Amino acid sequence: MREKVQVSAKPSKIFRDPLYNYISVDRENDAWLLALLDTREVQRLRRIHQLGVSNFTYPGADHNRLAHTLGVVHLMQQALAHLGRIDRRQQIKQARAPLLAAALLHDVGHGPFSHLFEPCLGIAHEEWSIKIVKDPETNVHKILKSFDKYPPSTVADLIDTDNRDHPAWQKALLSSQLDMDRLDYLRRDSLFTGAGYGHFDFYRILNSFVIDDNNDLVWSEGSKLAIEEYIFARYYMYQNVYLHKTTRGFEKMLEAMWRRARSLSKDGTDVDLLPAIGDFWEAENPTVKQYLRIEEFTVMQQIQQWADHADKPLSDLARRFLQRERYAAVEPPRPDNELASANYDRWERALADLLKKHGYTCVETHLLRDELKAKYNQPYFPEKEGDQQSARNAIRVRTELTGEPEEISTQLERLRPITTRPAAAQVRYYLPPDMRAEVQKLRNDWRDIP
Amino acid sequence: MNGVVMQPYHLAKLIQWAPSGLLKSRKRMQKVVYLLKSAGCAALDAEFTLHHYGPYSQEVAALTDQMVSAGLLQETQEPNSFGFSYSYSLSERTEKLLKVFEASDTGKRLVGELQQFKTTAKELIVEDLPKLEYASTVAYFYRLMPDWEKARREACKFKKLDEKGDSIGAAVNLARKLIKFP
Repeated sequence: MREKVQVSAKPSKIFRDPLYNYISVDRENDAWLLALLDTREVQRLRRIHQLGVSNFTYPGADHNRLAHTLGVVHLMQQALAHLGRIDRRQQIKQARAPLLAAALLHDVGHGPFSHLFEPCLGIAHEEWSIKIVKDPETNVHKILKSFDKYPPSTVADLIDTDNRDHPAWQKALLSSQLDMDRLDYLRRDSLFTGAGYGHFDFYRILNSFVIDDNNDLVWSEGSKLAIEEYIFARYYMYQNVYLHKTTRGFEKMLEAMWRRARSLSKDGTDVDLLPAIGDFWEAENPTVKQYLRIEEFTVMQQIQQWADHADKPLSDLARRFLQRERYAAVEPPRPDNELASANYDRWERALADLLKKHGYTCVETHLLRDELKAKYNQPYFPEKEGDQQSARNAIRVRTELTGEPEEISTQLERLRPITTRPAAAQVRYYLPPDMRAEVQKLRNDWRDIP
Repeated sequence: MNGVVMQPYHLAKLIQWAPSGLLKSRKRMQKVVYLLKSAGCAALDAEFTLHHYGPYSQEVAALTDQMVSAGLLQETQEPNSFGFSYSYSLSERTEKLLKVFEASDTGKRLVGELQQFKTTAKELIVEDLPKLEYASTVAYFYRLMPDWEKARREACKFKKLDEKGDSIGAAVNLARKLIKFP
């Protein structure tokens, strides 16, 4: 007698995606994941630009956090399927659901315009992701709890970079030098900006790692060229997209505008706050509910209102932001002595005097400083001392010759120029464009240390 | 607007304070900076995260390598069971730059900020390396939950140490002696 073929009554849920073509989720076994996806907290990510205001520079960069989140879930599914094929240990199976949940929820705490708005509200998105998962009032929490197997606290601990209760490989898949988040956003951001960088053989990377004796991730030697491509993709995307001078200028403008409004509001000036923003600012410890009410459209409406505000510095910034009127970028003088950064206090005082002479009296809105830490100028920065290496600070490949994990740049000569010559921190100033020539002159005549 | 906090000058001074001007191992550098920062040395304000071997700062690692690349530090390597261990000393040019810089107004201000931690820094630089690793791990957990017993337990769990053992006891004592935050 012919055996009856078991066919699932519910076919997989399919999402069309420009990067992977199809992303599928099993409706039967992973119904909980689809329920999580449909929560209002996760759906809110549709209304958050993945790249903040990069669309001021790259008009196509209008993709949202939800699409990225789905991409991370897809890659996590692939990575776990690969692990399941090569490693039969129970811990792999048990970790699947919490890791998929953490992949789906890792960015759920993002606010308007993703990372760039964090200083405006004084928040860190990771902390809000954890709060949203832990808050019994959120639908995310309720769904996780209702499925019982995956307590919200486990998912929150996986997202929390400070928490070390889970094996290193699990944390590394979520956040490390080569994690699912980066694998998705580099290619996705490249596609939507049209920047043309950011291509690498992600499929090989996803299917060539193992868990080592320290419970950490290590890649096979055969994947080293794909990893090399990935590292260069990171380098090009940071240089051309994430740290683009124009984008950074608008980010600083947005920050300065919100700082100005906050300071006016604290001094008792009515800054015509929308209720969602007013409630958040007034609360000593804002609740998750208060936080989630601040949407990108709330922020844009607020900026529109400020464009007509009586405070000229505030309305000027709001108007410039809405009309995409750039400030000019100026580099500060190089320090005379390499042991200290330039004497920025003196330099900034000189710039402020110059601005005032030209009628720009509000320095906080007309002189914007952008400080990029060295780590953001470096696509991949491995720790070179072997006894301090892990997937968090190094990408390691297991060499066929010795069987030992080695940091990848020791195996690929071409990577050494970017790993052994680290980038320095960078400071830039943004100010009204009509000031550019005079500031350049000041800079050329500058002596740093008196 | 604030200035950049941790600067090449600070790292150069730590190396100058090491015995014979040679600071042995990057791990020692990391843990000394973390413990000094925890002791209240605001000038050493780098961002740290917890790694297998205790608190680790990519910023400190990057600053070290930038200084080597710029010829401000001399780096020597020695093989060990994990690959290599690295040691750092000041180049002749850096010694001269230090003198000039410390005579300037900015230099005098930075010297003042660091000088009060000189004795502690010198003591830490010569401490046993595992003790530095455990003490900085205890300090890291104490920052997350300001309770010494909890910090000790978490550090033991994380480092797989015997909770009653001498090594964790000595590490907790060192961390308690240094930590200023509540």
